[in-house]
Amino acid sequence: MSERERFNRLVRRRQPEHKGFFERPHLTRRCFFRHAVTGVGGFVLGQTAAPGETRAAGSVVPKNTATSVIFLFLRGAPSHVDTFDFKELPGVTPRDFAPETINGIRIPTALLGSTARVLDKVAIIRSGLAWARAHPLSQTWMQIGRNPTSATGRIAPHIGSVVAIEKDPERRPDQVFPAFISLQARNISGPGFFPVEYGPFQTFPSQDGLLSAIHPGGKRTFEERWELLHAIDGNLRGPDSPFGAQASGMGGLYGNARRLMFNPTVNQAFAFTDEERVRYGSTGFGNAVLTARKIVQQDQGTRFIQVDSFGWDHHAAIYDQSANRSIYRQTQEFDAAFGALIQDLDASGHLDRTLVVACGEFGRTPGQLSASRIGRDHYLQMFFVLAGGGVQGGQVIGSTNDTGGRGPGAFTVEPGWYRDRDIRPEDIEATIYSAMGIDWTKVRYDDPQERGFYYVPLADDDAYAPVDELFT
Amino acid sequence: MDRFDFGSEAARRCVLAVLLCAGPAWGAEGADLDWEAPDGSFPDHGGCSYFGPQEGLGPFLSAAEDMAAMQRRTWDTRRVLAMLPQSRRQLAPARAGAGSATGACSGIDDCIHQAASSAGVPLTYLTTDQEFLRRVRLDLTGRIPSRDEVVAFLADTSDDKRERLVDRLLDTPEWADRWAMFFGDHFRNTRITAQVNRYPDGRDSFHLYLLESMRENKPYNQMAQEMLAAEGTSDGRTYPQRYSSYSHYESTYLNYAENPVRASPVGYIVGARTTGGPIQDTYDTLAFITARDFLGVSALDCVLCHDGAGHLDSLSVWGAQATRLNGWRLAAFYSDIPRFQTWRSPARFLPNNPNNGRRVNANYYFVHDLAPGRRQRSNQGDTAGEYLAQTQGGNRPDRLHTDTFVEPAYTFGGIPATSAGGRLRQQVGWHLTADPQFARAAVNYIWREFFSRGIVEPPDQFDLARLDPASPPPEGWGIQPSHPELLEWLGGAFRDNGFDLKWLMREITTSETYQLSSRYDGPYNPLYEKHFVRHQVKRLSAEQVHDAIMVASGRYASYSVSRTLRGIQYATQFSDVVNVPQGNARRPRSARLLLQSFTPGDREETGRSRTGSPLQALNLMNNPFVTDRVSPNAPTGTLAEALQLADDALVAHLYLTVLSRYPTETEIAFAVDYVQAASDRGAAASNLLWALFNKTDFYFNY
Repeated sequence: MSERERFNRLVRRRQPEHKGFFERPHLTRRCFFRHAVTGVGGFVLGQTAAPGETRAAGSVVPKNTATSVIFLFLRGAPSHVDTFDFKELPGVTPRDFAPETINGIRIPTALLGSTARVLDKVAIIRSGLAWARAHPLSQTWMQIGRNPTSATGRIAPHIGSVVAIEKDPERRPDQVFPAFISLQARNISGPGFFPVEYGPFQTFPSQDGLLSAIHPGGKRTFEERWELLHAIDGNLRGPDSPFGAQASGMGGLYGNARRLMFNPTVNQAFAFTDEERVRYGSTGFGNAVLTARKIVQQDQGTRFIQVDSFGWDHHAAIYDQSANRSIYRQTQEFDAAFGALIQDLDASGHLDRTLVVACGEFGRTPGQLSASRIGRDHYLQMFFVLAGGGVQGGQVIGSTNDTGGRGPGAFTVEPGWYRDRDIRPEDIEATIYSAMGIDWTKVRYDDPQERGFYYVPLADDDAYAPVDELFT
Repeated sequence: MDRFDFGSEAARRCVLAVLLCAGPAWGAEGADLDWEAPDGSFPDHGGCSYFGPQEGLGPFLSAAEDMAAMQRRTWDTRRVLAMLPQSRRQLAPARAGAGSATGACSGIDDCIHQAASSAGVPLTYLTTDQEFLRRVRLDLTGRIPSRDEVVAFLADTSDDKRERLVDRLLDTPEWADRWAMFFGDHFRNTRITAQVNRYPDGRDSFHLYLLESMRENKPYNQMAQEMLAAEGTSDGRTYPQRYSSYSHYESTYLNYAENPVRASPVGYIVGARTTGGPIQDTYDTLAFITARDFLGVSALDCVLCHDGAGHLDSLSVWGAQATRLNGWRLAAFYSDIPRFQTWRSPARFLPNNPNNGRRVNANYYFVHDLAPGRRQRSNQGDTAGEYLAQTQGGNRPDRLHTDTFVEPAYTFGGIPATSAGGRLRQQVGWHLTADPQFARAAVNYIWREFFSRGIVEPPDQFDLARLDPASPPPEGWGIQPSHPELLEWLGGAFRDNGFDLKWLMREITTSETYQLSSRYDGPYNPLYEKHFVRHQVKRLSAEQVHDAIMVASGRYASYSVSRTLRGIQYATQFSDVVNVPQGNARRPRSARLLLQSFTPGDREETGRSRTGSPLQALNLMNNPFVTDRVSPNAPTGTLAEALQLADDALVAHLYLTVLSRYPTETEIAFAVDYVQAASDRGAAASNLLWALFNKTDFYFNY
């Protein structure tokens, strides 16, 4: 049985959920953990989770080539056939796309000019295939690496939360940044059943520095206020607070917050100059990507940064230069930031340990534009773009067939990896974990359903795997 | 006392009474440890007819009079505070209930006292008036009390003032706002989830339904029945069969003034829409959310994929016996609903459409049952009208491989499964609300909102086979509720009182158990939590923090959430917790960043959390939402008022307004010294106001 047949059978058989929890040990009840540990921020998950953790049979060896991840999420589903799986179609593709072949990769340089210059550091996956064509469903799917409607999907943490919790033991005492930061998100997936501190620290780029960490009155005013606060709050926030354990946590809470303020390290990461901003395209997305880069370079404990880009849902007027959100405007925004990001990370030597992932939640219909609205509609075939963190640049994984008119086409003809099937969001999730040195087959038994939470679904059946070809 | 000058003898006496009734000095100085055992009552000062019961808690003086009075006032604090009663109220000794030998109890306090005394865990004392006022105001209405309310409540010397306060709060519009927010969380009303886009209109419509239900104090069983049987458009608007022209379309579809979003419970059904599978997946989701939201039984989700045996054995005695077939039987009650799709604006097909080709952003769902006995096969292969247990693929494992239909039946126990006629979805509403578990789950969810912990915890994980001490579960299992008799009594009484939510909340908030102090003398073990011997502090929710800062600063915002909800002042009035307004144009995102840092969840995969995080501290310290409101430059609101007062009155004013309590003697002395030592009085007052917003007793409901 080929790998592809095996996978298809598996998916048919275990489409919605997995078994796997027959074998699990009977554990102390979750409720005990939940309530025995009280106090603000006093939840040390490593301790509570450890007794129940087991590893699935057949231990795997993660690549462990990256220390942090920058995830550029292009929400709305970018058209793959106009970008990273470029298909020229006479009479359809605008002439001014200026496609060129660089490193053997055909790419519209009018849209992706900066990206074209760093293609030798970028790997493109063309055999990507989403599971669903509905934006919210697939966006959540991409972020949690599983079907949101499955039983564990309902409680599943964001991939970034898994990275954050796994990397917690490696955090140094001097590192002050949150492990998982979200810049620019409007509606990001959360920590699921994990403690809330492993959820995304949501902020927006701001030229002055970290929002909410800058005291508008300046440092002197702040110092005076801080002193006054502690003088009048007395022991209410101390270890002997009359209000009990929760209130005793206030001191630590404020102490941690204080460490982010008037902190040169924070300013270096979150503030930026006009010059830097222009280099990244002078857009909100560009500012966020720039901030992400600077956060990574500060090495302050941040392991996963998500930057969201919006407006890729090109049902209408995709090639209309005058339209507010045409493919031109969208790619311009992405390209400037992405190109600068790869260049800068490379120049500072951080690219080797920083995995950059860019993708949407699915692709768009190939071929002719839709007659009614002159756009492209939802399509399962999609691209993933990866760079850095051990990923071998300059390669294309997978290929798709050509497409004539509107209709099917641009399907995977050559998956381009050893599993010999389309590459799914779950495989990218496994790839991220592997690069980060996380065992993607891990199961934790502190989930509220007590059914065992697999980092990557169906790991007990080896359904998904890191795309190892990326690293060779 | 001659330095008080309120113009009239009556007013003067009232102010005195205010200070005398203020209860124990509050603060960090350890004074509370020295208090003597009490005589259990406050001195009766009489003569305060100004605050007679008929006056309720109306404003103490008119705002102008009050201001004028305050400007003339200075406080001889030391002398006044020296007169405060150094006592606190103690509980009456636990009643030796007649039924205590058998474990039976009746009423919240009886049950809690009995259980605590048999566990040998001592109860703490009753909370003070000013603590009680802030607590119950936040819990019932989501807002902190105004300064006037604090002053008036403390001045009130009647014995039943706490009960009257509760009654008054239950009748405020804020009560409806706050509990519409609670049920919005509970029923997960949000615009967009991984599965379904309700659209702003649909979300607002469901929100309006919850809000109106609260305003009418609709019986909770009626709410459940209406939501389960809901039909119509998901935005509550009306639509013609077809549009004759664009202007017809414009005057109906686009005309929100004439055809507004109306309250509709259809949003509850819409939220269960499950894509990527057969229609049975949607029926199963409906069964699951019915069980979770109304019965507190989340385990049905598991059972809808596989029998409980072999899966839930270590989790739930009930679950281990539950079968997938019985899950389908509950789901079958929903099988008259054909697959519902988004109905889009048909504008672009109409002649003379000036926006030709552009979709108008208004979408809705239409939920309507098939006629009884009718079966419909859709072009997607769905069979509606009966629950066909033959499916392959989708979101749940394949059902049967034979062509079998499942009869609807309510199998949760105790209720005859005979159908009483009516539509299937009406039937399930009747079965459900007649089930004692419906009342149990409801009172437990509400109880948890007040006590931070359910009698069954977590409240959505009931094990139906471990509730009754009279029929104990198998070896190795304990009874699940911490207070089974109380749960049974409270559920039964809730049902007997017509599922009246106000009755339930009155019963809870007027109990001694709820009115226990959050302080505890002597060693406290975290395991005592389940005995409810001490009130658990909880930090303010996102909306409560936002609203409290607005109320206390006296500087209000005005938000537009959507086409329907405009001119909103309070975050508690929002119809959602995500996609909420961001703040004003000058301070973009300030309100949203503040709200988000207090983790309201997303009403989908992430629940509301009361955990603390440094991000909250950062926002309270630095977010312009706070710092603008305390800025000494061109001060308005509370700060401007305070700056017109003498130093000691200024301090008292700020403490009363922000913390809803009087400062202690030490606090006044310290703050007055601080203000007087400062070179810039405005800046000093501003700093003090800022510090109060960051104080532990602002951050917590205690």
